Parts: sequence; C-alpha cells; structure tokens
Amino acid sequence: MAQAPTGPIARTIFTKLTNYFKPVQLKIIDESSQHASHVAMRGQQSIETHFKVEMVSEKFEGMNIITRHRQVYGILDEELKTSVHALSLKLKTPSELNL
Amino acid sequence: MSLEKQIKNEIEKGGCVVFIKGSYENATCKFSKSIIETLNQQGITCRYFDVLPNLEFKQALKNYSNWPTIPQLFINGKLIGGCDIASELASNGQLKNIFLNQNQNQK
Repeated sequence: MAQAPTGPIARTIFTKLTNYFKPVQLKIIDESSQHASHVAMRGQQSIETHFKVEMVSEKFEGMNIITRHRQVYGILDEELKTSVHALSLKLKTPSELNL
Repeated sequence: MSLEKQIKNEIEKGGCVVFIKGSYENATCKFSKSIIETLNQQGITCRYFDVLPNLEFKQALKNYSNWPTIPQLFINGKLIGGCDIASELASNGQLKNIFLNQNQNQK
C-alpha cells in the first residue's frame, strides 16, 4: 500500500473530499514528479501539481460519470485554480464494487 | 468575435472535437496522448486543437465548458469529459456509441 502523500495540498484535498463525500475508500496519489519534464512545468517546482484520486462513495449513486467528475472539480475548485494542473479521477459507488 | 464565441462555434459544428496540449502528432502531456490513443483505438475521427500557443484561448475554453482541465472532448456539441472519462466510456463501449449516434442524428 502506497504511503499517502503528506503535502499541504494533498491534505486539503483529503479533508475536503472526506467531509463532502464521506467515502468508504479514498486514495490520493501525488503524480507530480511524472510530469516534471512537460513544457508547462519547465522552470517550476513539480510539487503537488498532478494528483490521482480514487474514491468510492454513496454520493455517486445515480450520477453519470461526467456529473461525478464535476462534483469533485467543484469541491476542489480552489486547488484547481491555484497549484493543481491535473486531476486523474476514478469515482465509483460501493455497489459498483460490490462493497 | 470573442475567443469563447469562436470556440463555441467550432464545437457546435458537431462531430468530434478535442482540445489538447500539443499537436496530434506531438502531444506534450500524457493525458492528451492518452485521449488521442483512445480515440484512435475506437476509430473515431476528430478535429484536434492545441491550447498551448495561446493562454487566453485555453482560459476561454475553460470558461466556455466550465471544466478545469485539458484535454477536453466534445461530441456533437456536448462535453464528454477528459481522458479518464474517455477511457472509461471506451472500455464499456459507450464512447463509440455516442459518436455513432451523433452521426445518425445528422443523417
């Protein structure tokens, strides 16, 4: 099991998502170092800019995939306007995973 | 004409439109590369637009779609989403259907 990222943005993401979605599973992975070489990142610190979020929550019941993404983008609007350039999302309901 | 209006007009022409980082031949970020690959695998022909040369263009797109990240895929004037959504819809067969249905609607 990967160590959860501990930076301030990661912690904020964790808190906001936990409070709003009350997930049964939440995994946040900081993928920033994988993007260090691409054009927009040159000359910038590649810290806390690209995250992968895998979350399982009952709040997604009845929501199609794009609505689920919009919900998460809405909660993390502030982070997306500042340091986060990309969010890779995998969003499921407990029933979809037979939990 | 404002950039947003130009973007709106292009998207509303219909068909498959994708906004990426870099060109089709040389996408510069892994998410843009991933969506190109997904669309090619599905045999979906698209019009590709590079958001990198013009920051205002990129911002106008985000304002128009109310979607914060790149790439952005539109089919028949409707936002489908980014590369995660495209992959997921491709894996359950829905992406091709969405594309084919829009072709049928235009007949």
